[in-house]
Amino acid sequence: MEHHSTEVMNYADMAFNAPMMASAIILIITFVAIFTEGIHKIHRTKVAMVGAGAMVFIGQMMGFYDPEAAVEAIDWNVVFLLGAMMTIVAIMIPTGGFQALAYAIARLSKGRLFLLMTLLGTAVTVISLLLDNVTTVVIFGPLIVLICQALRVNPIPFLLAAALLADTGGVATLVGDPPNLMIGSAANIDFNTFFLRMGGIVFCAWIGTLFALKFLFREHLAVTPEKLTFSSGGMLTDKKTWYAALGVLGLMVVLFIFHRALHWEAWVVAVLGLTVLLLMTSKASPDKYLAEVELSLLLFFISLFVMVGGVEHSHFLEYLGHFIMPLVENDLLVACIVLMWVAAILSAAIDNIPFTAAFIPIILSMEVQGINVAPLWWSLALGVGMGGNGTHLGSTANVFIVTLTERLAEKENKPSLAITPGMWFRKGTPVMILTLIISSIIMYTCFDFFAQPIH
Amino acid sequence: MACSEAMISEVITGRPEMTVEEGLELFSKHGIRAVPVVDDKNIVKGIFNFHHLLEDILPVSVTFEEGISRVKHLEISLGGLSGEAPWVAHRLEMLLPKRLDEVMVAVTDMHTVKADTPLREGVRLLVKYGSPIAVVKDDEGTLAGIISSQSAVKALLKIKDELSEAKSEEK
Repeated sequence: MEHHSTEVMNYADMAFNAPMMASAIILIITFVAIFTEGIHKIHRTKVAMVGAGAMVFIGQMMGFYDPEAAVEAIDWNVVFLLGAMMTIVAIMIPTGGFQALAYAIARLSKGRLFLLMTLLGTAVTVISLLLDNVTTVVIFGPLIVLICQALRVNPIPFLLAAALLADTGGVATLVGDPPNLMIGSAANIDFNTFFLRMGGIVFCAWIGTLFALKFLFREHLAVTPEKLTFSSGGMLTDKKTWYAALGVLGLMVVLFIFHRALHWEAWVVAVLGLTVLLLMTSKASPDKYLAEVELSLLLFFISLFVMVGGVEHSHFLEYLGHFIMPLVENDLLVACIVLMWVAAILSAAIDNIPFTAAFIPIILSMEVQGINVAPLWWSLALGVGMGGNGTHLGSTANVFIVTLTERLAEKENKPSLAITPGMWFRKGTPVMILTLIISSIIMYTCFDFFAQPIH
Repeated sequence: MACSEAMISEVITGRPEMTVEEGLELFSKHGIRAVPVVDDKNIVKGIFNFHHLLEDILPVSVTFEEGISRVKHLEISLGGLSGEAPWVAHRLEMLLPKRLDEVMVAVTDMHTVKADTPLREGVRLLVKYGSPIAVVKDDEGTLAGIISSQSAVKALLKIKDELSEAKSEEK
């Protein structure tokens, strides 16, 4: 990220000024509009674009920002990596491989429901370690419903498990979730360091999630399901592309491990993987796959970077950091745990991406002041990642799962099949709290490990 | 050539308050596959057909379209797992008592033509949206008739024959 390039002011000299006020007002209005999308129905990308435009325009008028600085503020590493990963998924989806995998798991579990939940959860998590977990849940959600209908069991525990485990597992890698990528890119954290520091803590939280689900859904998992019978037809229709994609993903993991040594940013690995895969599927036009890239999400990121860049140039975020600094300097461990819980609660209530975008420059400004911010990065990643599990609106994956079950309940005329906000509160929120408690305990007991400098 | 040339004027219609079961009886009695659904004033409210009835029977997993745009072409096969036939039959049973206006393609989601619309536009709509397409008299949507795939092809064959006859007379 280009945030480092902005000149740093001494906090002693810092006073609230007109550019700070202007950028803060634009930031607050835009964030409020993004978080209230459900009320005014204006898409968050449109809101962010207006905010970004206003920031450039007013910044130029007041002399603290300009279009050139706005382009420099965009973290292209995040945008390119997300775009490349979306295209790779778009190539994999029509092969039928994900469905074949889900059915192979159903076959393997032989009617043991907790095993089915564990295996489905593991598959969704492993895939979401590399690919975006929202996409993974959107692909697996309808497949889980089909398997559960054939087993004659309620799909809710399995759908919740997929969403919660993918969300939790996604925190472990640099590319598992967009906020991780934003953090990793801004703090210059490589794939290995991210995984080595976060892998253990996330694994403990993941196991905690799984057993919490086993306890919360003990009645649902105790029923005897129908025996599954498998037939031929459908499913893995394009073996060549599916196995090629798996091979490319494997190669990408190896390259991610060495990307620092190769002096490659993460996006280079993703784009290289995409190029190889496109060449291997040479018959098809790339347009078919590129059409599936969620451009509105990429534009949302670009707009956020432009807008937050303006706030940085006005030094408002440094000014905010100035108030948080005494807490951090006083007790770094407490600051880390507070940040984790605040980030989680805010992410559960609102979108975690804008929150991450705004908080990154604050941490960067503390780093420039000589504070060891390494543990703050891990706390932020853990908080925004696991916070998504807190409510039915906490992540796009949750919203998708809730809407899917509502349609299912309507069609099957069984209201018990719908996941209501209340049910999420009873089953999902305790899981979020448990994962945060586990993370806090590990952070507390192994603080030296997390406080090691990143570079 | 206008749509009126291919229009079937004497049309069996359904009513919004009819049940799916009654609608299916109409299909069976008259050997048809779709009916325009009209109100008391003969204004088109929608079309009830086999295609959309079958779509309603499919599981949510394959008809759910509210995913995110990056997986909009996710196609889930219903092959692979067997033994679901009783469930499909059960869903049809659940649909039978529903009103036609709950299961029809509503007028807001379909396309209509007027009698003077060129037939080639009628054919385009038949290809895009399936048969039949309602023909309306006015902007309120009063039903004049329908054009179906069969009636369109029949009308076009008639023209072809007329052209052939005209050519042979010239010779």
